[in-house]
Amino acid sequence: MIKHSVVRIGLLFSTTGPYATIGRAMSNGSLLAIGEVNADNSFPFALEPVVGNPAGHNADYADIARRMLTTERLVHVVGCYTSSSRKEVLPHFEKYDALLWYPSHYEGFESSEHVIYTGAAPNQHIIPLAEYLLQTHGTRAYCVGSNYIWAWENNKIMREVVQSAGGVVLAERYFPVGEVEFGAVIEQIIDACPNFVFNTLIGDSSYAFFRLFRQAAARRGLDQPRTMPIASCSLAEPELVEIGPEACAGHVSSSVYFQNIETETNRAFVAAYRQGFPDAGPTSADAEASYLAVHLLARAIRWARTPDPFAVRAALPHVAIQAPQGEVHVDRENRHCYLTPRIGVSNAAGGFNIIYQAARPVKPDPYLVWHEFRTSSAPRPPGLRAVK
Amino acid sequence: MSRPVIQNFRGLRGVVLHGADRNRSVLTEMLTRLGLKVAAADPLDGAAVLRDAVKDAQLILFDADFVETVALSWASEPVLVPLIAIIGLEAPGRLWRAFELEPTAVIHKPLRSTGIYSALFFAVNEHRRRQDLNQKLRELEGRHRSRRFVTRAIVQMMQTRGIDDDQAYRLLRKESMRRRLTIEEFAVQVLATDQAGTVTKAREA
Repeated sequence: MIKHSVVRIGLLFSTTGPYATIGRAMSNGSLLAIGEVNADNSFPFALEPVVGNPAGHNADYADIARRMLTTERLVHVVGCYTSSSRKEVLPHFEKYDALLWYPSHYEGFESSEHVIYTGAAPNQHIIPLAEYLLQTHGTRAYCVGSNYIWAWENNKIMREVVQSAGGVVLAERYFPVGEVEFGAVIEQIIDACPNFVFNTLIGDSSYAFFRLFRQAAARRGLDQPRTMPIASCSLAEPELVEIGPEACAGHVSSSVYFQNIETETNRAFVAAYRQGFPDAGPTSADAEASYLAVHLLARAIRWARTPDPFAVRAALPHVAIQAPQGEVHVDRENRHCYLTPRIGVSNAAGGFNIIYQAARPVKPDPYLVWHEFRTSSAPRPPGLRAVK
Repeated sequence: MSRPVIQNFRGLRGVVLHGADRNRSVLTEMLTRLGLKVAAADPLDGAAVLRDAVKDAQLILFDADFVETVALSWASEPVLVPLIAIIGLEAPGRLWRAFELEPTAVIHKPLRSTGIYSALFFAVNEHRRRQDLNQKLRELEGRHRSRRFVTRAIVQMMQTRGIDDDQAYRLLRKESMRRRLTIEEFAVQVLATDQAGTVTKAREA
């Protein structure tokens, strides 16, 4: 069968700049899905990527997005990573009635008619992590983060969950993005004896903290992963490579995707990713969210029989995909996705052992309207089951 | 003492007073997504319908372009729930009439989902803060009115006990705290009993 038409879609990722590792993973995931759609004759159209690289500059995000929607006349763009970049481009998508396919976990509290959110909402990453930590490690938390909205909002949620379980947040400490000197705070943490450290540092700061904390704990004779584990939202496989072999094992991460999820679909995804991008390292939640964004988009266009954004949005309740993480479909009310939360503990080989996963995809709750903060500790995080 | 802010509005009964158009559907859909129980009425439906619509409301969002008809339906009684003004025309007449209803947040047409949660957050929490301030104001006004009794009690104690005003005030304060009364309430008691009796008996007890 011959492809009758071409649908051009924008890819707006910072493949260079301060968070290039993640931008490249997202770009790779999208390109992989585009290739699969184009090779699949059940789609009567081909996708053609129009690539823009804002290199991490918010102003460039806005300029490139506007150019994509005007000069290039695109109506679908997959892109953005930080919330600030998303807020920059959003007015253009509203003005030109286009759709942004946003493939990143984020802090929630948004549901624009012009955005399809394929990454995890807070009830799909931070809440399961907090409940796991309270149940498994205890109720004394110490929070360390990079000084911006991702850390502030996640720590606020963590504090609420911990306090509702009768626990205590010993301290919340913030550091400038890029800070790598953590000697003093690490001594304070070890002296304070928390049951776990909640880490919302990003990039190089995070990797440095993991290494220094492990070293300091060893000097004081502590089995750090057992007595004082570091827990993060969506710590991913490529980041374990950055942390390095000495300190990459024993960290708790909450994510809807880990590379070693044992499904046929994921094995095929990992193999195709390695083949397509041999130098890119392991697959990650960001790559998977971008991959499934393109697949959802292609299915919605096929259902609607047109790339018209209104028709595509109306088609969303009718499409679902068997993604590497499991079944994914879009919530018709808030346009976030039903995703499957998991808890993994990193190992020395640079992967994660998945120790809990939700029994079924969890409805996204970006405003945490429906979450019940518990008043006492339950024997097991609700909705999560042990994985052998 | 300030109360913790409300950030989850699940179950709140919200009433939208706005014509049935795209703006209204954006608003009601978003409020429903945020967990509110939403009802709507058109300002042009008339005062009787509007009064009925807002009867059990815990939050009211009204179209400021039709603020006169909205205001008429409340003419007889003050509104005790948080109000959000939906601003269309920014003519000062509209704004002034809307302002008189004392909304604690505004949102602007054309409506989009962005901004609605913020408006709700500010409207509900600012309303609570105003309620707390009004409560505090009433208490202070009450104490202010009874302040003259404190002055009279001090003068009386100075005369009957031969002490100075500082000593009299300290005694009054100590004894009122012991009885868990405000100093104003205790002063009224002192004046009501025979000259020096109350304070002396209290100290001997």
